[in-house]
Amino acid sequence: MKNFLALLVFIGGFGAWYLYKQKEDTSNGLHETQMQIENYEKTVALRRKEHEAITKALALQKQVTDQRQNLAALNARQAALETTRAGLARQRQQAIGTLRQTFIGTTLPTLTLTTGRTLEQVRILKLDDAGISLALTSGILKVLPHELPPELRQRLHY
Amino acid sequence: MKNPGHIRQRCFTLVLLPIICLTLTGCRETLEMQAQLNESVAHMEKLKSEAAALDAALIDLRRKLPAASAPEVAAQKMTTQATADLKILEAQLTQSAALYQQTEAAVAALQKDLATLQVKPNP
Repeated sequence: MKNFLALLVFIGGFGAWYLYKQKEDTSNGLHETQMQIENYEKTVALRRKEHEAITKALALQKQVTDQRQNLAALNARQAALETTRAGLARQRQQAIGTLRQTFIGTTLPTLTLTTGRTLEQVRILKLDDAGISLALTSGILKVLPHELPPELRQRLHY
Repeated sequence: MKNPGHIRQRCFTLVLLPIICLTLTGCRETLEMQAQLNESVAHMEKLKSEAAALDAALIDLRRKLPAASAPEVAAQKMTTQATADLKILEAQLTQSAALYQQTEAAVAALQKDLATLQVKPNP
C-alpha cells in the first residue's frame, strides 16, 4: 500500500514538474517571440518609411524629368513657330514693298497732312519705310509716315 | 484497523484528484499558450518575409539614389530638390505656354495680313 502511495506521489510529482516545465518553456518561447516580433515590427516600420521616402523622391524626380521634356518640346515648338513668324514677317514686308511700288507715279489732286498743310496736284515719287517723297510744282517734298492722313497711311501700310 | 477500500478512497481524494485537476488546468493553459505561440510565430514569419521583401526592394531603390550620403538623407534631399525644381519648371512651362500662344496669335495675324496684302487691288 505504501509502495502504491509512493508511486502515486512520484507520478504526481513528475507530472507536475513536466507540466510546469512545458508551461515555462512555452511561456519563455512566447515571450522571446513577442520580443522578436517587436524588433521585426520596428525594422519593418523603418524599412517601410525608407521605402516610402525613396519612392516619393523617385516619383518626384520622374515628374521633374517629364516636365523638363515637356518644356524642351514646347521650346522646340516655340522656336519653330518663331522661324515661321520671321518668314511671314519677311513675306509681309516684301508684299508691302510691292504694294507701295504700285503707288509710284500716282497723282493726288489734294493731300492734307496731319500738320494742317494742304498740298495740291502731288505726284508720288518714292515710297519706303522712312516716308514718302512727293513731287510738287514747287519741288520735291519728303513727308514722314505720321504726317500722312490716316486713310492714306492705312492704304500704304504705315 | 482501517479498511483498505477506505484508504484507496482517501488516496484518490488526496493525491489523484488534485493531480488530475492540476494536469487538466495546466494542460489547458499550456495549450492556450502554445496556440498563442503558434500565432506569434506565424506573425513573426510574415513580418520576416515582409522585411526581406522590403530589403530586396530597397536594394534596387537605393541604387537610384546618389551615393553621397545615407539613403534616408539622400531621399530627403532629392525630395526637397525635386519639389523646388518642379515649382520652377511649372512656372517656366506656364510662361512658355503663354509665349507660345502669343506667338501663335502673332503668326495667325501675320498670315491674315499677308493674305489681305496678296489680294489687294492696285490703287
